[in-house]
Amino acid sequence: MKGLAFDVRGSIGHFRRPDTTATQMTYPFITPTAAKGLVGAILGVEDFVTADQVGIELLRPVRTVAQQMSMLGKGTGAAFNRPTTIELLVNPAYRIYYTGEEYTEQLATALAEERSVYTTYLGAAYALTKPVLHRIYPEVVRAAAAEQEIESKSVVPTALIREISLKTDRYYCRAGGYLRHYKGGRTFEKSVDFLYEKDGKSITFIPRADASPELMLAKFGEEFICLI
Amino acid sequence: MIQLLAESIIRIGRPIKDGGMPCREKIRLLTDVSSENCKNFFRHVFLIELAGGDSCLQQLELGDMALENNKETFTVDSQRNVTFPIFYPNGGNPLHAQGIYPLPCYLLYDPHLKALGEKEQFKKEFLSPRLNNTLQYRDMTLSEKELLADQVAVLLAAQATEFISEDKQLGILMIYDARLNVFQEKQDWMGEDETLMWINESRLQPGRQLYLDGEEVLQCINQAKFYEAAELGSEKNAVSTFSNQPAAEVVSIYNKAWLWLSPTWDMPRSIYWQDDEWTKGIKVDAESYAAYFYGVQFLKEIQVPVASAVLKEMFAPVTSVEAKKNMKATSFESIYGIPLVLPLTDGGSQQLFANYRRMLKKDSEKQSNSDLHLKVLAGIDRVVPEIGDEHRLTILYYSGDLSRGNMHIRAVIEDIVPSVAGKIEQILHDLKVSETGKIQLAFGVAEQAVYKTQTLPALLANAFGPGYVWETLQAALHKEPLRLERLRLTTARRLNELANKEDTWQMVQELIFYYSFLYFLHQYEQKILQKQGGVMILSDWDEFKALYSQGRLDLCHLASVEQLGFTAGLLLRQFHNSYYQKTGKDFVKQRVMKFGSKLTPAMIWKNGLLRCEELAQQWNMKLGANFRPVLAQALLGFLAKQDQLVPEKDSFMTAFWSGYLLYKADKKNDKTEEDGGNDNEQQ
Repeated sequence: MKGLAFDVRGSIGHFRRPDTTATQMTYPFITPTAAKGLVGAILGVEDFVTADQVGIELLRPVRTVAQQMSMLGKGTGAAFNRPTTIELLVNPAYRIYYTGEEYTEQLATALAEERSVYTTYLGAAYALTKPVLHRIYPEVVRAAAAEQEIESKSVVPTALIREISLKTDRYYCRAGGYLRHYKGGRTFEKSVDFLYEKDGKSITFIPRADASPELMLAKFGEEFICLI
Repeated sequence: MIQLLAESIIRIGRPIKDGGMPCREKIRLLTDVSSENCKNFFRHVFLIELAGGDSCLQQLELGDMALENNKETFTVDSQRNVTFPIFYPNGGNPLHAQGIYPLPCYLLYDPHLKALGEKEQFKKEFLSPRLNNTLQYRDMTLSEKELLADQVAVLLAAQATEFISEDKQLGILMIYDARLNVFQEKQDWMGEDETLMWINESRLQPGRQLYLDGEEVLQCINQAKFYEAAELGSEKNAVSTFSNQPAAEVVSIYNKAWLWLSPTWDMPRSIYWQDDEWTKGIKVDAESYAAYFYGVQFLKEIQVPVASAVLKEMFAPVTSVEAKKNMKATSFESIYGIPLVLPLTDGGSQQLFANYRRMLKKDSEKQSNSDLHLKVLAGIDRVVPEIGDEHRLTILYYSGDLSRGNMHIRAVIEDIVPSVAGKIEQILHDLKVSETGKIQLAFGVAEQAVYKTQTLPALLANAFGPGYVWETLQAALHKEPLRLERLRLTTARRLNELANKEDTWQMVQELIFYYSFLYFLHQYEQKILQKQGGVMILSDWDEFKALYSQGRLDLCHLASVEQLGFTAGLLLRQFHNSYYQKTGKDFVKQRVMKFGSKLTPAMIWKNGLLRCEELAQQWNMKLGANFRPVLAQALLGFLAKQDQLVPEKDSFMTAFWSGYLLYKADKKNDKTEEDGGNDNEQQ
């Protein structure tokens, strides 16, 4: 199975947590559904549903700031402006690993040609970004489910972890409640929780042998990447 | 980054729901029986007993009036209030039926009570809407409910005149309907039963006791809340977003139970969803929803406002002493803080449940050194019991009116490592109990508490300014480096303002704060960042002052602008003392500063130090033996550092005033050469 990795960077980003209403909070890093949505934007597929999988590596430390913005009001009636607190990601940068049988080839071509059908952004239209191809991986293999310590550069679903090997120079964080699958028609299913290192450093852990098959550990070159 | 959101709330609620909390305690947590807003409802409790076609009414008062501060207040019977599970409306019109009632127990507002005599009106406006929304009566036909409403309305109307008064009244109506399984009747007095909660003695069958089945009530509450959530969408046989497992029924999580998720705002509902299709986004199964509700109630219980005195320290201007002095502590919008503790990986623990229970008790005292006192760390008066580093602490600050769904997050400080927080708290403790006193002693002032160094938000805000509070609080709690530029800038500005007013006492207070902060930073860098060297604290200047008094300060000791500034301060103060002896005038005020001007490093150099020798000759001043050798080195230092004086002026000026004001406590260095250089204090 072929795979690729591309980078997205920006000065701000905002991946709206669907479980905040009046105050708009962001997930600490790009969601798997948004990462796939980016691919849909590049390829020009409006309602992008795919069984392909993505992995996410943090290229910059996670930083957020709460900012008050004047936004159009609540409800669909007569709109009015009101101050709304929005949490923004500061200087986000991610490496998105992508693999699967459906769109990998097309995506590789589009990225190599620096071509995107729709505008690409980091969660909100005011946070534009340009995806840049990092590398093509001719062969991505699923890692064997041997329960031995591995080191992963990507964020790690907590359901994949049997045991973390805590290191003193790491700052481990948890981010819960990411929506897992996009089913089309603005419908989502299931959730996934992640463990990540605040500065984007790798995480060493022993994977679970009985993890859900939807969560895959794969080797991109020499790197272990957790795929959703 | 654990967000204060559905997934986290469920993870908090699950151990509380499944832990060994007694059923009374759970009902107290899930309902509003102990809410301050609800105490007066217990003054008029109407208990309607229905059994086998018979009915009767009893009026109870659950509590006593007591005199508090010359004011009569009602104290609710905290044992019995839990027997009447009530829910205080969150927004909306409280006179109307709201949500789903788990059992027939309703709040009566004054207009309801005044309408008790009007049988038809009371039935139409109060009873029927509520009976229709009561879980226990869901399976009853409409005509049966009508009959029930009639029976209750007639009973109440018949005795209405007895209990309606002119005053504003509030009450509770409970319909003890023997057909419902939440109610039980016993011959015997059950005492302090685990699950059965005594309501009252039966009037229909005197001698028999009426009870509420607590376990049954809890189930009803969970079910009622689950159905309330279904109003924005429900699906049969779907996968729950949180358990990732199929469930017989799932509902939308958006509702007003937790106003962060209030659907008042259409966003983030997709434009492609119908009003009752919120489940297309997040759907939750009954078990997860029950855990969610427990979590929500827990968070409501432990959230606490930041004290207004702390808010003033956090948000008053820091570059002007006068502006801060004139700000009232009450002029800041309330900010609430919510602390959360969760394990880093999946799963809960019994330890976590025990901790949550302790947090619910709202202790404001630590029980062990390992507990975290958030008043010190975050300005919120809550103690977090000891937790290991496999957990993370998150603190969320918000302001606004939660009851209207109009809240604004001010900051979310996530993923705090408990041991880091503990070390910071210890540093602040050491600062408070020993270090601040030493600094005050060095400046020759009496030991006293310094409010602005006692909590981390106040300490950081006074150092960096209100615009940097959240950023620096987050940086400190996240083991990130803290920079000194803002501290020097704010301190230098305040010192300059005070110097113009000749407010020496307040200048000393500013420097006490400055050196207190430097001590904090020094310890923070050593103990948390594992960084050696770094900032100079007040005691680091002791050796420097000793060299000065011996006249042995060389150019190599003046390597930084800060050291040069400190030396200039010592020199000018020493010179000033002799000058004052001779002339009766203040050298700095008369010769160095122009009235009302901003003192600069250049003025200190050119109007001050460069003139010393000339004036000493002119006035035949007897300066200490140490003075001239150090002055020579300092003037060379100025030449060497002249390019840095402007960009690093704040650092220079803060050190200058430190040296100038500290010199006062160092009176012996003029005695080495001649007697003329007595350090008589000018005042």
